[in-house]
This record gives sequence, structure tokens and C-alpha cells, in this order.
Amino acid sequence: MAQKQTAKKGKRKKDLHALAVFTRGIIRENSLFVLLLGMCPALAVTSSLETGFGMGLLVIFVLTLSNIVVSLIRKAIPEEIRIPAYIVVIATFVTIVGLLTEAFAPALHESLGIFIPLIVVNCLIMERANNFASKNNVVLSAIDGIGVALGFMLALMLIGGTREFLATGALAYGVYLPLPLEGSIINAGLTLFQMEVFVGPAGGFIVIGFWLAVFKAFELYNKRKKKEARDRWIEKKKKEAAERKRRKAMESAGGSA
Amino acid sequence: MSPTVFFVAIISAMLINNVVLLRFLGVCPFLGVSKRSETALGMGGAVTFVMVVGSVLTYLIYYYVLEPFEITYISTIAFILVIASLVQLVEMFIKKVSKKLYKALGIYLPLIVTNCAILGVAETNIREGYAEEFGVMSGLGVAAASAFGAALGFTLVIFAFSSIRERLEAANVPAAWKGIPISLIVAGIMALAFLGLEGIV
Amino acid sequence: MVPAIVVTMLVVSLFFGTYIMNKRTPEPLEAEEVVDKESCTACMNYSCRYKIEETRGD
Repeated sequence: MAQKQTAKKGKRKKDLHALAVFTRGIIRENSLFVLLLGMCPALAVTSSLETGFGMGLLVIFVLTLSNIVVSLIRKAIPEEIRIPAYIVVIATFVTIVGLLTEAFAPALHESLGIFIPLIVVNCLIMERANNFASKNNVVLSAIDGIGVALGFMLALMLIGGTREFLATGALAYGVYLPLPLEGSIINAGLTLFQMEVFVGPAGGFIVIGFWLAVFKAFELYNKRKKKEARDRWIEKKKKEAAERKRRKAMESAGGSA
Repeated sequence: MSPTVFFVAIISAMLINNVVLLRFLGVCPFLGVSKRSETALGMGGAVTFVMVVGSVLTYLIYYYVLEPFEITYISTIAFILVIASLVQLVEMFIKKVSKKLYKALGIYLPLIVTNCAILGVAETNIREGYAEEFGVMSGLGVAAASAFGAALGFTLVIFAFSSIRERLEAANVPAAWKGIPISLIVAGIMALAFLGLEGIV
Repeated sequence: MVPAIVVTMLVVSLFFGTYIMNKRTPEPLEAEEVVDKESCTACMNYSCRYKIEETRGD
């Protein structure tokens, strides 16, 4: 009975760990905004919400599969050729993804252009292979891959959405992805205030810089809050200790008197 | 074919389609390494060499191996591995030959394997269709020229940026904007300036 | 299909060979802090990181 219970407990703990691995990559360790990985595609393919989403899907696919394979072969490959082996695995999956995109979403393939083969040199994928998948089991590695890539996709969509909205005053769908219908999620009709510079290269740099600063500001705010709370706690403990000391002194004084 | 073609290829790859600012290739070293001017120049030198030789090699492999066998779909895997091997060979050569050269350039070579600018320029050379336009052999010259121009553009931007970074260090920037965010805004303004060069060729 | 496999095997073995050869060539320099720390935080470049770990090791 007791054994069964501990087994159950152990399993639950593992599940919690898996959940932590999954959510960690989305916000707290967001690959783009917090770790600054994968800048090149983040600038180049985010001229609209949909291209960002499409690129994110491809990265989810490549990162999950490469994490799974790297984790499977982690004990088979000698230490010396670890990094070249990862490059070969990643390049294989990128080739597969490129061919699939060309077949099923030609418009997306056209608009992402050379940035599909360039997924190979995306630091994010190599980093996960080297630092996570090479040390953990298959299931965890797959979960980590999905989580981290999802965080990357959300970041791309945030940037793409901002740029598209500022440039066109609307967020369109169905243009690049093979969706059954075309339209727009938001259409503010701000044709007078369109700022076309934001679809261009300069807009990409400026929008990413802006969002990075926003994330940094949040981080600094949280840090300050935490520090204040800790200071308050220390202050309280100090007061309590002083109080205790005084009481003790009074007691001993009373006892002696 | 007149020499102006090469000249135009160099200028257009360097200024009009600048790799870092307008094609977003090699943003990582741009933001990371370029803090001191000498570092920027060393990086630029190493990138120039690998980019030109890598472009020539990948071009030859594409048109003399992959296309005759109709296996262009493995170009991604072939290109990245050839470029990575090239970097390994160059690094080994420099290690063996000269201490001084290794100190000046060798330390940047490992950074280059994952530099998307090298692979990006190699891919672009194929996609621009120089071989169809000028013939395979002359196309090779144009591809090499545009790779050289792209590398010059990379060096130019990374060097200019390192000088700006030195001034930024002293500037009074709000805490949240310090470091990479303000650098990106500066890069955005530089990109705007480069947009103005669009009409030269 | 066959030429694709042959060419892939060729480039893969070329890369593995050069990589191992390069790794076995000793560095002529004393260990020194090779790249700005910031370049590693900027893109977590794996090669730059392993370079720094290597130099930090000794």
C-alpha cells in the first residue's frame, strides 16, 4: 500500500516537472524576448501576423523532431562528434520541412524564401539540442521542444501582428497559409494612418527593440517588487528579533528583581 | 560581359541590399561582437574570406553536382555541411601556420559556422539565377563578386555600429532600454538611412 | 535517390572528418577569453559558448 502510494507520488512529481518544462519556454524563458535567440528570422519573417505564425509552425516541427532524435541517439554518439551530428540531424529535418511547405503552402514558402533553409543555423534549435535534449529522455525532450518553439511562435506573432497592424491598420488571414477563407481578424480601417515603414526592415528593428524594452521593463519591475518584499521581510524579522531580545532582557531583569 | 557587371554586383550587395540591415542576415554577430572597432574589423575579415570562398564552393557544387544529378532538393544539407567543413579547414590551417593570424582571425571562425549571413548569401546566389543570366562560368564570377560585396557591407555596418556603440555606452539610457533594445532602435535608424541608397544603381 | 544518398554521405563524412581533424589540432594560443561575453548572451551561439567553456576549463 505504502509502496503504491509513493509510486503514485513519484509519478505525479514527474508530471509536474513535465508541465514546468513545457510552460517554462513560453514566457519565463521565452527564447526570443528573454534569451534573445533566433534574432534573424524574428526580424525577417515578421512583416505580418500570418508569416510569423507560419514560421513558428515550421520551427515547432523542426525543434520537436530534432529534440526527439537527438535525445534518442544521445547515448549512441561519441562526445567528440556531438555537435556535427546535431547539425546533420537538424539539416535533415529542415530539408523535410522545406519540401513539405513547398508542397502544401506554396505562398508561405514563397514569402519565407531563404529563411526556411536558414532554420538550420537558428541558434535556438542548436541550443536546445545541446543543452536539453542531449541530457534528457525522449518524452521530456519532445515536451521541451514544443514548449520552447511555441514561445518562439508567440513572440513572432506578437512582432508580426504589431508590424502588420501599424503598417496596414488590419490583421489579415488566409493570405499565406492555405486556409479555406480569407479575411481579417481586426480591421480598424485606419487607411489614413498607415505607416508603411513598419513592414520594411527599419520597422522590424524598431518593433523588436520596443518589445524587448517592454519585457525588460517587466523584468526590472518584478525584480524590484521582489527585492522590496524581501527587504520588508528582513525588516520584520529584525523587528521581531529586537522585540524578543527586549522581552527577554525585561524578563531576566524582572527575574533578577 | 563588361566589368561593370561585377562593379554593380558589389555595390548592390554592399549598400542597396545590405546583408545586416536590409536582409537581416548576421544580426547575431552584429548585436553581439561589435563592441570594439578592432573586434569588428577582425570579424569582418574572417567573414569576408569564408563568405567568398563558401559562395564559390556552394555555387560549384550546386551547378556541377546537384543539378546534373537532379538532386537540388538536398542543397540545404549540402551547403551547410560544406560551409562548416570549410570553416574547420580554415581554422585548422590557421592554427598550424601562424600564431599571429590565429590571434587576429582564428577566434572568430567558430562564430561563423552558425552565422546565417554565410549560408544566406550562398542560397541567395543560387536563387538570384546568375547562372541562367550570365552562363554558369561567368555567373560564378558574379556570385563571387556579390558575396564579396555582401561581406564588405557586413564589415562596413558592423564597424560603423561599433563606433556608435562606444558612444551609446556613455549615453544616459533608461534602464529597460539599455543594451540590446536601444541597439536595435539604432539599427532601425541605420536601416532607414540605407533605404535612401536604393536608387543608386 | 541513389545519387542523393551518395552525395549526402560524402558531405557528411567530409564534415565529420574535418571537424575531428580540427578538434585534434592543438591551439597555438594560451587560453584567453575569446569572445565578448555579450556575443554569447546575444545569440547563445553554441560554438562561441563551447569555446568559452573550453577556455574556462583550464
